[in-house]
Amino acid sequence: MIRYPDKGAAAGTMEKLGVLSDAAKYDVACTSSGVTRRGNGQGMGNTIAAGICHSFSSDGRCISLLKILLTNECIYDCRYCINRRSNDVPRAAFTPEELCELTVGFYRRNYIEGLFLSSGIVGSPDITMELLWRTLWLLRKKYEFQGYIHVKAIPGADAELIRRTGMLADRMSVNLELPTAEGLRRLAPNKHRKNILTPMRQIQTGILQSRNELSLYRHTPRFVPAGQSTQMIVGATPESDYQILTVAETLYRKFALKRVFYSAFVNVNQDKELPAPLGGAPLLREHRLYQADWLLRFYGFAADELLGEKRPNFNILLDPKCDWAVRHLDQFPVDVQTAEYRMLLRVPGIGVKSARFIVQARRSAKLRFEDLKRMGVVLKRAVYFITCSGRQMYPTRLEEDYIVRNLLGEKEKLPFEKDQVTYRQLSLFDDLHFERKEESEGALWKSIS
Amino acid sequence: MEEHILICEDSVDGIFTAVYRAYEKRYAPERTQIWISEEENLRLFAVYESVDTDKETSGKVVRTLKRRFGEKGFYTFCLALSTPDTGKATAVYRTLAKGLRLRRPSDIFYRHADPDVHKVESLQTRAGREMDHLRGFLRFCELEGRILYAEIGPENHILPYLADHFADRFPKEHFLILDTGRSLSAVHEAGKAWFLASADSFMRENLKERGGEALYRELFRCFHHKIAIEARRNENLQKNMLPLRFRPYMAEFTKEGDGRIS
Ligand code: SF4
Repeated sequence: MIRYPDKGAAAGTMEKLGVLSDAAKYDVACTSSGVTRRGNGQGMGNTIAAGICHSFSSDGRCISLLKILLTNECIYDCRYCINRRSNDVPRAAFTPEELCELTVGFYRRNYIEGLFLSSGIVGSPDITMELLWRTLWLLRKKYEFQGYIHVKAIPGADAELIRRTGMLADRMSVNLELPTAEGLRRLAPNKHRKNILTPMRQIQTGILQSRNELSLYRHTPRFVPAGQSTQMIVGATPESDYQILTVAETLYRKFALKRVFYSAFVNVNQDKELPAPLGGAPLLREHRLYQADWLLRFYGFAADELLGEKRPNFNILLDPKCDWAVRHLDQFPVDVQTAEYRMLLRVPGIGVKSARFIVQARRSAKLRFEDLKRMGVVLKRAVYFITCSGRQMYPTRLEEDYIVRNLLGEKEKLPFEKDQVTYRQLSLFDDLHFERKEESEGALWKSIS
Repeated sequence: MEEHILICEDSVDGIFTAVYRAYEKRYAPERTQIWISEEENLRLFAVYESVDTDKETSGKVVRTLKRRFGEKGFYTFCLALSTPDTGKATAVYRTLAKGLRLRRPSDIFYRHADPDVHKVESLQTRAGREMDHLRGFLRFCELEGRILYAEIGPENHILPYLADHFADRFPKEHFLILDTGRSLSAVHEAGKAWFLASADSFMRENLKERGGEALYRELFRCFHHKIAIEARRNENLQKNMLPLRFRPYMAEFTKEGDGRIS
């Protein structure tokens, strides 16, 4: 079944792989999570709900899937995209068979967890979608591949093609691309909001139906079992963090998405009408959005608790959870022995795991501060907001200024620090529209209230 | 009252045999320890006993633990025991002893404030993290005869659990995973159950890669390089996520010809 490429063919494969993975790298999703499927004793492959990272690239991002385009030819001309029609870049295309060989070859060597397949638009959305379907079909049926597959649904493609493709995939995604319809009109003139939301809705309905059928007949094939995701480019258009987060919330609530990914805009085309190069500020902004996204999905926060019309952007210095807490001191301190789970989740320094540990452990023991530490609570942050048996760890003041000053003394760990970007550099960028009045400490923490 | 110290072999079977002996003799868990090696300073008020590993005896303990703590609880104990920590056996023994006194033994894992439970949990986390890493970072190459071959150098003795994972993933492949530090290998023949074998059972120098393997490594290096976004370069983050100690075994971080077989 597995053929070895001869030297000439291998050189061709190498070239195509280079072009087509280079063209795919701006898609941020690379997770292989959301579904557990044990091996079936036949074929090849299994999946694990938590996902598996197989490597990390030099930008620190996880490599889990063979993230690749079937082709980077495209009839569209989206301004932010390296593959747009008007760009003069090397073009390449894999046949479905070639791509299957490569996927299986990588998978057997444990380089990857599966395939993340996308494509430029060749001919029409239908033709493109059919090529994607054919690739998945071959991979599942001929190569008996049971590993993870994430595939793009092409906006504007026939619903039946999307349905059939979804029966073979684990995850499907349609990229929202830009947070607002207005942004889309400006930067992706060939795409329309409606064309994006239609397949998104179709996939949502399909997943629900499949789940219902599954409860009736256990062995019916499942449609997109690992759920649906999407991606938004952040920073190419002038939306506020509040607008973006509200869109994300809507997607979670109304479209039951599993994940929304945010991608700090990289101006690959040096397009003069689009913002400047990627630097610290966009990365920090992206980071804050992911933090807030986490708060929406796992901590029971709503978008308008974190931001609002009056405070449309995240605090540059405090993470969204700390920021919320210092603005709601009337709700603190809480006692760890008695506080509700949902309130424990709101304490800075207490994560989902430690909150769960606290609730479990307090049934059989009176918790002390040292116990909390063992359970993973970051006391340096939590100390202002909690008591154990009615007592604080040491006397602190429940005052906004005092707490903020102390929290800021505790340097926040940012994933992109030390390497290239530092706080100092961050402050040089002003495209985040932060109201940084003065450099004095006083002004800094007043601007967050 | 004096303290009992059971000394046994550093293996799951050895430690579970010691657990059985402690139960058999009705020792009080608070006054009993299980050591996997002798300490230099012998204690005055302690009685030392050495325990010979017995598979049948440890099998009884395994069955009991699986029944009372469930597969997941049992796996927690096993992962904790796969670490090189010298206090692991006592921590596991005391945790399971405390658990067995509860109506639902697995509830013991909720008592995060208990020092023994906490120790088992943190050992399990440590080994579990390495499992997570190696499930992804392990690299196979193909030998002549369609055998997939990988070398690993893990801190914890997790080879058996890794072999389970890959046997489920590649039921129809022959594979061989060598733990270089322990000189132990997991051998899987297509369609059969895998087993552990001493690394002496094959000569590493005699293994021959199938032609064309280098090309596959090149392809992956190419992908690994191309998929990175230069504007986001962040090798520090990369180092945090993929510690250096794994890299000598990984195609994308090595060049052809350094220390590979063939
Ligand atoms: S449709 Fe737009 S974003 Fe997609 S490949 Fe074509 S130009 Fe790029």
